[in-house]
Amino acid sequence: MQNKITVPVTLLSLFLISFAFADNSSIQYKDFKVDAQTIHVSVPQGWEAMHDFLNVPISLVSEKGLQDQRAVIQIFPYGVKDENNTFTKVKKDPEEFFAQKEEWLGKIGGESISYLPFQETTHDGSTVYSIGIKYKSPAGEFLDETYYVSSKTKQLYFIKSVTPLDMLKEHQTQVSEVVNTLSSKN
Amino acid sequence: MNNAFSRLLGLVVCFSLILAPFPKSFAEDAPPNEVTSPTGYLHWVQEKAERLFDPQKGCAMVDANGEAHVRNFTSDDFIHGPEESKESVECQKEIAAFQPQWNKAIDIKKQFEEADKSTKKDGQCSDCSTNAKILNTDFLAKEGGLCSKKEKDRINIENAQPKCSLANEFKKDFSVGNILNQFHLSIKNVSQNNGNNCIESLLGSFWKHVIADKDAIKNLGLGLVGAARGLYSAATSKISGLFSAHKQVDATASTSSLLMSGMTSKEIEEAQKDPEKATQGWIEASVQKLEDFLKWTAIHVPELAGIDSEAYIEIWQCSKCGERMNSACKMIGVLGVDAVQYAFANWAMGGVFKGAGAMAKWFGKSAAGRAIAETAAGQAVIKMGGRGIEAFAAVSKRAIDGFSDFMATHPKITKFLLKPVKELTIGVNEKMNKGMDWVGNKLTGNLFVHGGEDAALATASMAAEDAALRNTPGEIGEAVARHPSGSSVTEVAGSGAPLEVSMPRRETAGMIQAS
Repeated sequence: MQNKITVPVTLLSLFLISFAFADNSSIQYKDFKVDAQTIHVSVPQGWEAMHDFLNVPISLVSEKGLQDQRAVIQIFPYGVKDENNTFTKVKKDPEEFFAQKEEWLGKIGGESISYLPFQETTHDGSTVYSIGIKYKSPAGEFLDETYYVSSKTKQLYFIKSVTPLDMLKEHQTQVSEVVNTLSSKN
Repeated sequence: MNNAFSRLLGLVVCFSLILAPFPKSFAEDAPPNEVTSPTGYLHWVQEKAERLFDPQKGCAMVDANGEAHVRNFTSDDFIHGPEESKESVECQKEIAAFQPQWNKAIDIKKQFEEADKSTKKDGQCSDCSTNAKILNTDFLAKEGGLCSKKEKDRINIENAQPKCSLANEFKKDFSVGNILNQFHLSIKNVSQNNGNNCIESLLGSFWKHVIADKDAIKNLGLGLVGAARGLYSAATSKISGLFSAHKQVDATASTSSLLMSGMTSKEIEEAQKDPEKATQGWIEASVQKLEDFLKWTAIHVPELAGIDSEAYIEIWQCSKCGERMNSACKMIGVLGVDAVQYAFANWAMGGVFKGAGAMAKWFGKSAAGRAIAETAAGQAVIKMGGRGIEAFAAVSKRAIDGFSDFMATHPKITKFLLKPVKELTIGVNEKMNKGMDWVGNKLTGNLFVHGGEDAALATASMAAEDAALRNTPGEIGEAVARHPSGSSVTEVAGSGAPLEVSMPRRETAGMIQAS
């Protein structure tokens, strides 16, 4: 009887442990040297990292999804230290952002589906602002997000994330992880 | 590299070909409901000039001495009473109002002639939009085609040589290395690209919108920090708002992310190994891909607007290797850069069109199709569609030739219409001032009859009235109506995802920061 109870508990423990390990192993970390700054970036499992391709300091790309597209994250350090709550003090008008994206969509033959509101998240000394737009284009349907990050050590970053909608469920957490790592470990 | 470049090149034209093939301004001076194209405008102006100078009943005349002037008022005219004098005044108003239209027609004629000249220079075209203006006046109007079958066969063999490609032609004047250097030195140089032809501008403009400008981002960082410290005022720092300051940076990142999204595994591998070489490879391949598109254009683009494609194919088939660049520009220009822009973007960004029927349908229904219809050239092409591009070209040529002939055969009228408005009506004013009080009283307040500088104001006023008459309310409403109405709030799948708000643009003004 005791065995009958122990076996499932042991199995459950093993499962939880393996899950925990699997969770940890799904993210690798990589350091990138951009000018004088070393940037610690989390690279989700199955993603590739590129340095300085098309002049983008750091690009992360996922594997391809059902619509034959990858999720992409581009990271741009501003190369300045935020000692004065920079982003807080600058005017942020979401309407302006959406109007710009509509203009851009007009140029690439796309059309907006919906808007993601402007958000501010603070954690342990870091601040992340985000805003986004879902759109459809001849290339497929995507979520396009912009992040403004003031990290724990007060480094400023501009991040662009583009995720195919069919991969949204899977990759939204990974995008968040990349952004959070950048804000909390740099 | 196919997939990625398909998207890449789809965007080439999106960002580069931004000029309408004809200046919209010509339409502003056009009379309502009569003119849909520049050449139609020339026709209209010429006909109106003929009406105004009709020997029997025209408002103006060429007298026995060969001098042109507003129809003279004899004393006989005036003793017939005020009714006829009123008619005379209306006549002068018509002449004065016609003068800017005449000048505009001359401008259009000059544009056509200059464009024609520039495209003939060294087999290179300087600008896609300039080419559109000529509408292949002499290029397609030749009877029996541009070259014989024998010539086509010979050109076909010559062009089959590996060295003969648009990419090679392109490289002769503008190397890939030059493009890369420009980007590496300063992205801004690209926007000032003084390339020799529209293809260079097209590619240069495209890359400007895809390759990130790291310097700009660093400068933004300095600007942001400075603004936060209060070092700069909003007026001097240019950081008046976070999003406005990042407009270009954000657009470039969105575009290049979209391109990266379609990259193959091999492309990623190459970009990891040698990013500079990979970037160069993308640029090189983009030129070749552009050539593929232009060949495709020769067959399919005319069909999009219901035009006979034979003339386009003829252009390509009769273009010798060294002429391909010019032909490419003509092909982009003849149909109109907008038309090519949208067709290319859709073709390259996933090949959504499987046949001409589907393309034509898209042209008719899409926003892009509507955009084409809004351009003067688009309207003209669509209107002329049934008769084919050759007929269109012939009509264009006839209009220009006809107008030129009219000017040449009526030098006095031409000279007269170029006079300042004040001089156009001076003969009448003198008569009026000589004691025709009852006429003067009748016309009190009429700026034209009193002549002087006020006449110019009155001309402008009339032009404004004409413009107001021509305003079509539909153009304004369309853009606003594009986004879906109604609002809803749903949660995006996946943990930690932000809320998705679907609502009309106007309502997003109420969005607040969620801490």
